[in-house]
Amino acid sequence: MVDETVRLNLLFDFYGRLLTERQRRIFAMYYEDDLSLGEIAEQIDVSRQAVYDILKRSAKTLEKFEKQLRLVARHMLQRRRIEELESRISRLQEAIPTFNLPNEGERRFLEAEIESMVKLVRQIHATAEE
Amino acid sequence: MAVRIRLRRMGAKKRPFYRLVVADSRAARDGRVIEFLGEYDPTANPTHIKVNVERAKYWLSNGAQPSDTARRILEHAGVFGDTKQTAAESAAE
Repeated sequence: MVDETVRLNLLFDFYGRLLTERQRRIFAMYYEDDLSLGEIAEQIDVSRQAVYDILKRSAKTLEKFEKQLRLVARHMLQRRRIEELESRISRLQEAIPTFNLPNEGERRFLEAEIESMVKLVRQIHATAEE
Repeated sequence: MAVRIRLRRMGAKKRPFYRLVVADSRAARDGRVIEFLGEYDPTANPTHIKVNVERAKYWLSNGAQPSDTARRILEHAGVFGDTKQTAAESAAE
């Protein structure tokens, strides 16, 4: 149930604009604000069954887009890879002070290069979430 | 006044996290909450769940109705006293 909510919210982030205004509104009420079918039905003055049908149809539409475009799957894979990269960079940063680097200039160069990698990874993160 | 415990989606687009909140069921979408009970971040590795168990028990004992999703989180946090493996697994995945 929780997994389903998280997954559908993610699909909604990617493909939500392709739903109708009414579908978007009801979808957000149910999956983002966690309102019950009854509460939504009451607020927008339709039957509980109508809300259920709209939600099912919206979810089906979002799944159809994902099946064709796979943007969410690619996003998740990219995020995992970026996190792995961050973890490796961080390990390298921690290791540098333990290395026996007699040349101060070389040590500074390494630190500066790693710092630029950290900045680049942050930028990739930001771009991926636009 | 019907009091509900529900999840509320927060965070950025494509990077959601959820807050567990106590709210009046009539103030459904206007953001007004009575109390924050905890948070749930499915994007963290491992999944991050933090619940103020004492306050959650207080609200439940006073008749607050959790939504299905909020109930799963509360179960996982052990609010009902029996952290079932199945519930823990499903919330953590």
